[in-house]
Amino acid sequence: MSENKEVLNIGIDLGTSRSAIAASNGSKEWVESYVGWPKDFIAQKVLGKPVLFGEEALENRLSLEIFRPLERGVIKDGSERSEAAVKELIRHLIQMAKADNGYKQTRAIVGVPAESFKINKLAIKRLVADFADAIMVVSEPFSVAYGINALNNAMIIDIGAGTTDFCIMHGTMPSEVDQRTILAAGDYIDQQLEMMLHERYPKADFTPTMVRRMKEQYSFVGEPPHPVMVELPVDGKPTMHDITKEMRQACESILPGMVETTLDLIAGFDPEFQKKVRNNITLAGGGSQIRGLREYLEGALREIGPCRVSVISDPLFGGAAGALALAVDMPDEYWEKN
Amino acid sequence: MWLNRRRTENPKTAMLKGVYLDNMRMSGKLPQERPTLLQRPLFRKTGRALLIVLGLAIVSFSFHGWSVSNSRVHAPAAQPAATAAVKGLAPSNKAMAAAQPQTQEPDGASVMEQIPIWDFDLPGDQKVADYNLLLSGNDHIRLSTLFGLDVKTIIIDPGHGGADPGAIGLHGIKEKEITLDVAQRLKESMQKQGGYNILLTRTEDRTLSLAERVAFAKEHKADLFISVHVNSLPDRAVNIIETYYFGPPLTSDTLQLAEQENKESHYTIRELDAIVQDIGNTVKRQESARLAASIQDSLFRNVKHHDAKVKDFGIKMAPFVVLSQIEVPSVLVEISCLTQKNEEKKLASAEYRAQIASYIEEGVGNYLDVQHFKTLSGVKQNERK
Repeated sequence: MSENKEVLNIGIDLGTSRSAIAASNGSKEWVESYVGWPKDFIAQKVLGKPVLFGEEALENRLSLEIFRPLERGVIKDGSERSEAAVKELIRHLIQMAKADNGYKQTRAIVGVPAESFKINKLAIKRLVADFADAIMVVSEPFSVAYGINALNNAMIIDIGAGTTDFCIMHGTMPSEVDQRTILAAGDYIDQQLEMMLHERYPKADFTPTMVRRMKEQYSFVGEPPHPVMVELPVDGKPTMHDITKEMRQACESILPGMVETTLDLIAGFDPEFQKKVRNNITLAGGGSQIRGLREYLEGALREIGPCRVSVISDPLFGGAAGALALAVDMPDEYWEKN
Repeated sequence: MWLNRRRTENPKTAMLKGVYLDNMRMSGKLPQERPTLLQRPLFRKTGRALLIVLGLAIVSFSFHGWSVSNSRVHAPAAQPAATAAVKGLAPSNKAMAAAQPQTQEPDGASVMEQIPIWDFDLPGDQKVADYNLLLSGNDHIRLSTLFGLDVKTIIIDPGHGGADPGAIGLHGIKEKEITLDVAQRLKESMQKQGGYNILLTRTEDRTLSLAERVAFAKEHKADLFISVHVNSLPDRAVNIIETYYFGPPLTSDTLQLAEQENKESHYTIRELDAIVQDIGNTVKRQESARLAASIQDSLFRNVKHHDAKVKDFGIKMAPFVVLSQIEVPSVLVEISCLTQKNEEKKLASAEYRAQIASYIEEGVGNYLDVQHFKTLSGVKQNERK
């Protein structure tokens, strides 16, 4: 396996909301998947950079032409501008991770949604090719499973912003029938929440970014741990709003699809091993942090028998770390031929 | 099946190899795994048909004896049975009625007239009979079989692409993504059968005008042209499957859809009308209709298992520019309806897209099987190259 110090192995998780990288030199970095170019030379002079990323891009968005170039985990629209933004994002991630630039070879494995179109996988490979000597793409939930060694009789549910990916592991490479992607994920919750808040508080002023941050801070399903109160401006005046009910409804909107898909995948598995899979379900991705989700799923799946759902310990880097583990373990001859 | 999955190999080693092979395949560096001859559906069907034809020949021989074996007097007696036998493999009775314009009932159900193919008496001299039939313009006879036309190159055209997303589902899935993915799967799957040169008009997300698609088909000497699309019916809560071939529109809905799909063509209405009026290519129309019927039949019959409410809108004639300018059998298949929430959800699944591709493949395969066997003399004319 690749313990060669001249080789830098990297695992990348290109996410709709956040992108992360883990490298064999020990680096682990992430950035919000926003890329912004200064609108004009004045903005560039003020900002002092030709391109901004993540939080910094969001803070300066009024001076920028800003892009969230990934949609459902793949390049949005296939437009040149989106591709350029993804390329900048990859460059930025690799630069962040490459503390030492003296490596002779960089090998990258990139996670993509389970049911990405082949064309999207090829586009990602093409973009990463400018920064790495050898590239492979894998499905995100598979890379998560590999990273946590959940290789047999296990199920990964990776809840991202654009997609929720399912993968059932049975001791070999999962095929298409073992994987599913549904579009009910973080962004869907944001849309629902934004719509409900506009309906309930028509005078309150807020943006999609504010809604996303509220969700990240307060999301829950089931009984509320406490009332969710947020400050939103009304006619410019900061005002407290109770959004408990809306938060619950929005977060629970992704549950029916998630439960249905989980049940469907388990039902399609070898009956002898279904019990083992039911007791080995792992939630990954940002959505795994929704309070009460693990308990809710255990309850919903109980109709088919007892089950155990756990939450990955590092949801932000689960995909990137798994991709890195794959890159490190990948035999040299496979890299050479790729 | 599950026993096969439980390998004795170290799971990690198998997985790493799997990732490697998957990536090689994706980049086109590794040939697709080829099924054995017996695994090939076309082979299986062809084999079955051969056995049936052989059986019928033996029966025929026992009645007529060697003395008449070189004449064609016996053909009318043997052929209806042979045709019926092949029908069993091929797209049911609809294919046989496909060359006829179709009427549509208000609920969208299609009504087709059943037309027997062998409803005439053949004179003793086959050649004279063939040409007489050709000159009479009898649509019931397949001119392609008279001339022994062959299929070597099949072009699959994924609709839309690049700046033109086509229909967009409620969750943002775009028609251009689905059509390309299904077309790629169809190509990969058909290539496994061997014997045909399968090409895609586009292999990436790029804008391609209708004229460019037509030029591609001409440049590569297409023998069949299949354009893949996904319907959009935002105002109707229904999933429909329909397949078009070129001809004058029969309903205003069809005309509207044609206008929508033709908007990038830059043809004037007058020019398009002239093209429609100028269609004299009977072979093309007949074969397009049969190909359309075969694909429609297979697609609808199989999708019905997933969605009991799916509607069969049948085959229709419509003046699509992309179909009009291609001088070989060409169809435009609307595989699903992206504006239906459930359909969008299903289309997001790679497994479902693979199934759709396999249903189209089955339809094309059935069409080719019929093409392969059905001749006026009942003798195989078109050896697949």
